Amino acid sequence: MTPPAATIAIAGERLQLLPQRAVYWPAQRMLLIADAHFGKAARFRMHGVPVPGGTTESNLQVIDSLLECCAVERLLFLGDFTHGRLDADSATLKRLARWRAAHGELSVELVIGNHDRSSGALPEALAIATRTEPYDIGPFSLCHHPEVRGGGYVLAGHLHPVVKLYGRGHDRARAPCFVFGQHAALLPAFGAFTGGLNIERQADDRIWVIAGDSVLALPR
Amino acid sequence: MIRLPSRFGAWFAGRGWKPFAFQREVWNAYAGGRSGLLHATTGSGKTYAVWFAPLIDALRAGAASSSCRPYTVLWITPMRALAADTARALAQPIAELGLDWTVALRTGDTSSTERARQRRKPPDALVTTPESLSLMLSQADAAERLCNVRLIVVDEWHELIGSKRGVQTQLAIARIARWSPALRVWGLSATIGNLDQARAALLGSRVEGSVHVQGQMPKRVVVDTVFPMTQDRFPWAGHLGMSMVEPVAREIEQASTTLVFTNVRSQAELWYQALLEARPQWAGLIALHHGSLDRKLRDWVELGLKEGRLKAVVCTSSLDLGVDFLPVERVIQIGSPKGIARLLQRAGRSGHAPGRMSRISCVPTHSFELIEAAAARIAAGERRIEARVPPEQPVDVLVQHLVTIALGGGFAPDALYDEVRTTYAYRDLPRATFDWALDFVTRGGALAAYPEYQRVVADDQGVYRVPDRAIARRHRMSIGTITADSAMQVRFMSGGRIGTVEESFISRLKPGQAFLFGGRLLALKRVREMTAYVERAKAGTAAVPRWQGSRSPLSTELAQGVVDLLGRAHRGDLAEPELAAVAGLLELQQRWSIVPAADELLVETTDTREGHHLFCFPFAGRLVHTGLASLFGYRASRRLPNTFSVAVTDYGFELLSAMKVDWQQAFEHDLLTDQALEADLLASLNAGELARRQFREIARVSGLVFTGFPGQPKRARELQASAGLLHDVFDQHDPDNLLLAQARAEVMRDELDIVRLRATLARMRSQRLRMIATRRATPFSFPLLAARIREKVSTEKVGERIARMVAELERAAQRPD
Repeated sequence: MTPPAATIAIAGERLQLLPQRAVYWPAQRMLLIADAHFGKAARFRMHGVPVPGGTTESNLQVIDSLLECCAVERLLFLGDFTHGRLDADSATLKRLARWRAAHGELSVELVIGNHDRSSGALPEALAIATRTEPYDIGPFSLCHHPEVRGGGYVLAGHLHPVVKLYGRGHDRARAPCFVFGQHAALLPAFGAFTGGLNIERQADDRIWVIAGDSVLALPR
Repeated sequence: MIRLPSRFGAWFAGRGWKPFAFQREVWNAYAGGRSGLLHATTGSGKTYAVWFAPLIDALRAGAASSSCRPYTVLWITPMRALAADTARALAQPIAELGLDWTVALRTGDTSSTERARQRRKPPDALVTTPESLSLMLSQADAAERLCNVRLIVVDEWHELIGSKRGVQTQLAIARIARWSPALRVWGLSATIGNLDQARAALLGSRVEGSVHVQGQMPKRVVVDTVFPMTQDRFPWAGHLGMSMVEPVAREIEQASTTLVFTNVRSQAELWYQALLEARPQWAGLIALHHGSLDRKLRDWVELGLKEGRLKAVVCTSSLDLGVDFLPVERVIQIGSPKGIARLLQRAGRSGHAPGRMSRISCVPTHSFELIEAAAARIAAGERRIEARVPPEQPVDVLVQHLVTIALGGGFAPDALYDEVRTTYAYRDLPRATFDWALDFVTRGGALAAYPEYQRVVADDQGVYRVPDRAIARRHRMSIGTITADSAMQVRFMSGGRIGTVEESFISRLKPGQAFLFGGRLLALKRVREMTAYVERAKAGTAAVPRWQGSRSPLSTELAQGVVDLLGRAHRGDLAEPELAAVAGLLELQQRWSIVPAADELLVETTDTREGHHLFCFPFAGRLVHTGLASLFGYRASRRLPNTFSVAVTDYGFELLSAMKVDWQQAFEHDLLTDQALEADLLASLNAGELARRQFREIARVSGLVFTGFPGQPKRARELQASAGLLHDVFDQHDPDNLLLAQARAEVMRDELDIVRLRATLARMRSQRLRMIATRRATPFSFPLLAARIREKVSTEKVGERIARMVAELERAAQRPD
């Protein structure tokens, strides 16, 4: 049985890559989540595209399960927390506010991503502190866009990385992945209603794939 | 019997013609208020048979004033490209007859100025496509505009009947019939195996009292084979193809004008290049024609054909239909014709000059196709022709139609339910399904939550309408995309348009990489919006675009012909010349394995570095083989999770796995059983992602994905999600959604052909199993081994599969180089 999370050393720190498409940083008791895209399905529905409800709920359930097992004190979203503007009386916002109220002691921060920028300011009820990238903590620069350069090693999202795998007998599969490059790392998109982009591996990239409920290092 | 008005008699006499009996039959039936189906081949006077009916009627009724005639005739043609030719053909006799009718054209290519002109001054007859007609139905004043329609003609109905566009046509007819009770509907169809059903599908509840009119019987058709100069013992798709270039060039030399048909556009590109290389002096005398090329290029080629300037044109189904080119003397079919109906249709493109006959020559691109050519020749002689089955109750088209009608004046549910049930496709539609579709467009669904969603809303009077203008606009834009895949424009950097190619192909190319398109070697420069900018490339290796929609299976009729011929070969009867030509292949097959008798099922197994292979040969066409492979993979791995990759051809299928399977035991156990067949197939498919892929079209038709348009605002881009992602979200949060059920049903019926699959399985059970372990690939199994397109069946969990792949990579990485 493979351990569910992969623990890696980077920039002198240990990080846990979680199969729930998130990163846990034990030294800071910090949970990092990229590209949640809350309200995306609702946005589709508002524009007359019938996408069933339930994606917000399943996203929050996953976050709750991680908060429970990882002793998280800080939750940090690496951009694109929202997909578009959350209207004041929207079901998504109400659900998010209820969730936030249930975790009053938790520090929640957001590094502004491109979608967040066009969504406008977050309602105060959510009590989410916003940061602009690069947001430097310890040896890391926490960003949304991977090409941003800060004072440290960049942890970012934005690209929704997915890797294509090939097995024997022409077997093929796509899986979300973590990509650790020379200057920056990419987190997989967290949201339940987000797609993926095939990434091309650079020579010195290290990649971890999400295989069901475990995270595996991809050999070079 | 109606009397032909004198000016019509004079018109015929002036040409030295007399009306055909079948033409009079149509005019009489029409005058008697009847609808019907006219079965006729191209170039046999079928157009005048239906077109003159309303003209004669108008003259007899003395309806000289043009004010009461807007949109008297709607002429629906399946291809945009044919519409202009048809409009010309309709307009021509009008002036000669001294009538003042106007004919206009409305397709996706029609400019907004022209559309506005039509609105100001509606034509008497309109030539259009199913999509453009649906679009007209979505206009708020559709009822006022279309209440005078007396006749709807559906040209080339055999092309539409089997598709969702055919259903769209049925629904449009039902709509217009409601506004115009005097409506008559006439279909024109080439030969298919189910003409009575074709008439029923077109007319729906109006079929009662309708007539079937038999047009001119087709003249004699010659089907023959072009033989290769040498024999290949390993039939590899595409391999022997190019060695046939010289024999084909010689055939072309012998005729004045030849149409060279290929099954796919990529093959057309390759053959055009190869013929030019073989005969450089033909530059300018031969041309290329396929659906992705720009309209202007295609027009130029068609004009060249009409005027007899071209020696040969390499083409695809793009020239299956349309007006006849008198100079065409020969037709050459590269590769399998796949079916008898198509073979005869293509043959019919030749020999229209007086005193000529139609002739089609099959060119095998691999050895097996020699056997197919013989089977096609025999079946064509016996006129064993395939049926085209109309779809039943597609929910996605119904969903689209509800929104269309909500836009086009709105609807009351009870009345629309009754109207929809007058069509053939929805004649047995349960009210519950209709209500589900209504729910889906109004509040998402009854069972799952769709907060804040609405597309269609009932007003105070209970009339369902679309209040949101952006939704209305997006819906109208996507009506036409029922068949379109996201196509990219291909343009020169200097600006000239060359045609369109599927986005997925361009996305695999890197800038600078060369590819063959429109008969030219091009290099990709850059991609912007939905346009690929290219330059001419210097010689080098080039990619050839693989367009989709080219995987039609070998028909049952043709497949049975192949089985019969192999049975003859098994008995040592090589009397057919094509069989004699593959004697070497059959001899080697017999030596390394066997040539099966008609009552034997051949299964071969072999091991290679890739893994363990099973090759099975039911000869049932690629769709059925895809299903059987999926089923076998699932049933064989129920106890021991395993993943198979699958290759299929029209003759058999391959299952390749990393882990060894005891196939003998599996065959003895439950591999071939009919029990739980659909359940097992569905289970294997859920793992196999076929349904997920099928969902692409359904999502597009039902308005879930919006493919967008050039220069769209950012907000529209924000609403793009892949059909696969949507499928997964539905699957998880609204699993009872009928569109998911439709995806599964369509996979069953269209992708796997469950009826044929079940029959094949029954035949396999009755056959004697001959399982043979071979040391290497045999002539029969080699094409499967070489197939590059593969599917996959797995009972492993995704996580397990990925873990195994990672482990394999790990082992590979640790091996010394």
